[in-house]
Formats: sequence, C-alpha cells, structure tokens
Amino acid sequence: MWRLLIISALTALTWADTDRGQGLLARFGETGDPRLAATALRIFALEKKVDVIKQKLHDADKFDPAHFVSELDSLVTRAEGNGCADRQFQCGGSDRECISDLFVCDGHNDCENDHDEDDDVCSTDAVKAGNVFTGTVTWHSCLPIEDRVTRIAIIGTKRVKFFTSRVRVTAQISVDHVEGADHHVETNTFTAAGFFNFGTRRLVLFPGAGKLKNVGVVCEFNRGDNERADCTLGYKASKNTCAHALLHLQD
Amino acid sequence: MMLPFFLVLVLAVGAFGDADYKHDDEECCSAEDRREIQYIWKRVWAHSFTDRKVAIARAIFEDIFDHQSDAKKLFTRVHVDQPDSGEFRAHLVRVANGLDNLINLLSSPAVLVEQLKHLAHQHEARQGVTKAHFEAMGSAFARVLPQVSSCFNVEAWNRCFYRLAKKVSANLP
Repeated sequence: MWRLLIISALTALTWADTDRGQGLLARFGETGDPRLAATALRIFALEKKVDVIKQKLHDADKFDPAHFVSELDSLVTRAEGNGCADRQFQCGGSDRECISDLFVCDGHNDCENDHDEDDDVCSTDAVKAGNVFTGTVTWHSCLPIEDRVTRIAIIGTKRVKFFTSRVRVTAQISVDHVEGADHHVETNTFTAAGFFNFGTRRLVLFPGAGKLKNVGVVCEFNRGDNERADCTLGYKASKNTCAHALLHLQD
Repeated sequence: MMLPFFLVLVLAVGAFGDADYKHDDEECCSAEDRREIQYIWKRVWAHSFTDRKVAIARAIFEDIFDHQSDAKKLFTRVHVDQPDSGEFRAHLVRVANGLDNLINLLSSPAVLVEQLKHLAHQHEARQGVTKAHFEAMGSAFARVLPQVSSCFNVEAWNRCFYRLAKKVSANLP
C-alpha cells in the first residue's frame, strides 16, 4: 500500500511542473494525512487528463467527418450522374424520382419523400447578401487573359413570394490584375445580375458591362456545403466554356 | 552607365509586350469566337424563308447608307431606288447568303481563304467600293444584329467580321 502511494506521489511530482501543483503538494504534505495527499494527487492527475482531452477536442474540431462524407457523397453523385435530365431535380433516397427544378423550394411538396422542400435543400446560406467568394480564375480559351484573383460579392437578393424556386441575386465581381512597370495591383469591378437555382444548386450571374459583357458565370455548389463552388465562365450564346475557378467563402 | 541602358531595355520590352497583348486582344478571332458566331447566326436565320433575311439585310443596308451616303449610288444596278423591287430584294438575299457562306466556312479555314479571295476579286471589279464601305458594313452589322438576336456577342462578332472584311477589302482603295 505504501509503495503504491510513493509511486503515485513520484508520478505526481514529475507531472507537477506548475506552481499550482507544487503548492498543493506542499499544503497536503503539511497536513500529514497521507490518504488526503494521495486523493489530492489523484484529483490533480485527473485535472491534467481533462486538460489533455480539452486540447484533443480543440484539434478534433478541425476534422468534420459529416462534412467530409457529404463532400464525398456529392462528388460521387456528380461522377455517376443522378439519372435526371437537364433542369431536373433528383428527390434522392432509395426510390429515385426526378421532378422539374421549377418545383424545388416552391412551398409545395412535389417529391414522394418531400425532399424538394427540405430545409437543407432550400437553404439560402450560399447566396446570403454579404457573402464574398474568392478564388483564382484560369482562362483557357476565348480571350487572352492571365490567371487572376477574382471575388464575387453577393450584394443583394430578392425572392419573390409567387416564384420561390429561384433567388434573384445581384453581385459584384471584382478582378485583380497586375499593371504597369511597377507591378501594382488594379481591381476592375463589374456589377452582375442573375439567380440561384435550388434544384441544381447553381448560381448563374451575367456581368452587365465591361470585358465580361458576353460572358456568363455559372457557380455550382457541388462540394456538399454552401461555402465552396465550382465556377465556369463561358460565352452566353453558345455556352462555350472559357475559364474555370474554384471559389470559396471568405471568412 | 549600365543602369540607364537596362531601364531603356526594360521599358522597350514592356512597351512591345503591351502592344502585342492589345493586338491579340483586338484582332484575334478565337475558335470560341467562331463557334459563338456560328451559333448566333443559326438563330438569326431561324428559318429558311427569305422574308427574315431580306428584312435584316435591308436594315443593314439602310444603316450603311445612313453612315456612308456615297455608298447608295453603287447599287443603282440592282435598283436601290426601288427597295421593294425584285432586283434589290434578290441582291439582299445574295449578300445575306454570301455572309452565311463565310460564317459556315469559319470552321474550314483553307476553304474560307479561297472564298475570301474570290469575294475580293468580285468587289475589286466594282468601281467605287472602298475599304471605308466595308468598315461601315461592319459597324452596321454590330448595330443591327443585337436587335434581332438576344445574347448577341458584339465583341466576338467584331473580332471575326473585321478579319473577314480586311481580307475581302485588302486591295480596295
């Protein structure tokens, strides 16, 4: 019994590198009750363990399995297709059903499983006014433009109550480009108008003027969250693709 | 001594670099531009009846005559004074079909080059046709076509049209 107490006291001593620990040890050493001192040491060891667990919780926050799974799920869905035609929405679940994307989030249950009115399907978090998405746009055709850091800031939304399956979106698209001999950064800003489609999870924007006048921007929130979007820039008429970007929500 | 020389070199390279970029930007009729124009063109000519072609071509000619008053007398041979006459309408259809031909050839450059040479000879044979007339024709298209087609890409159209027009009017005064 005494040997165990000595061992635990030694362990506690090696652990007790803080002032608080040494103070405790000294105080209980004075009382002279070995059982009380042993309990104090155990409590102190437990406190240390709790601290370690707290640190682990903090680290675990960086790993979100649910988020990871939902991202993987949407990537697999994208790769295998969902069996629905263009402009259709897959209700999901075990019995597959396609409905028109005009019926998604219109306030009426059109899917057998009511998935078209689910809260996560109808979340407007992706296009909240104030959201700023940023990334680098890489042009591969159409116009001779270098890779440029581009931001899409949602500056206004409107959802008319008699047609809720779309959110009308006003955005500001700003493009950084390096100019002049001193390589300073200049920013071009265009105002763009478009809409968000819940069924396809696509934000479509048309810059009204400037160099991008004939270009449409299609951002698909296909990464399982409302924070990252795969964007394609292409000609409005023929839908030829010109540029790509992966945009993510700025903190 | 070395530094100023270096600066001059850098500035010169910078200037040429910019010039090259601008040149490309204004003149290059990219593959995507050509596809875009072919796509839009199909929708401008939504059906094969001549009424639509005549109406659009007439609007374009009126725009040219508004901006280049001396151009009108070049077409007396096809009765430009009687715009509803069969002769003038037939001429409008010929112009529209000629352009239709060029746009369809945008995907086969070798044939397009020969066709452009042929068109150039045809226009050289007409006294009084100038480079300025072709410029006016380009601006006329850029003004009229956006009115008959939604999502009309004026920039892509201009980039490609002026390249075509330059070839046709190369030997004109």
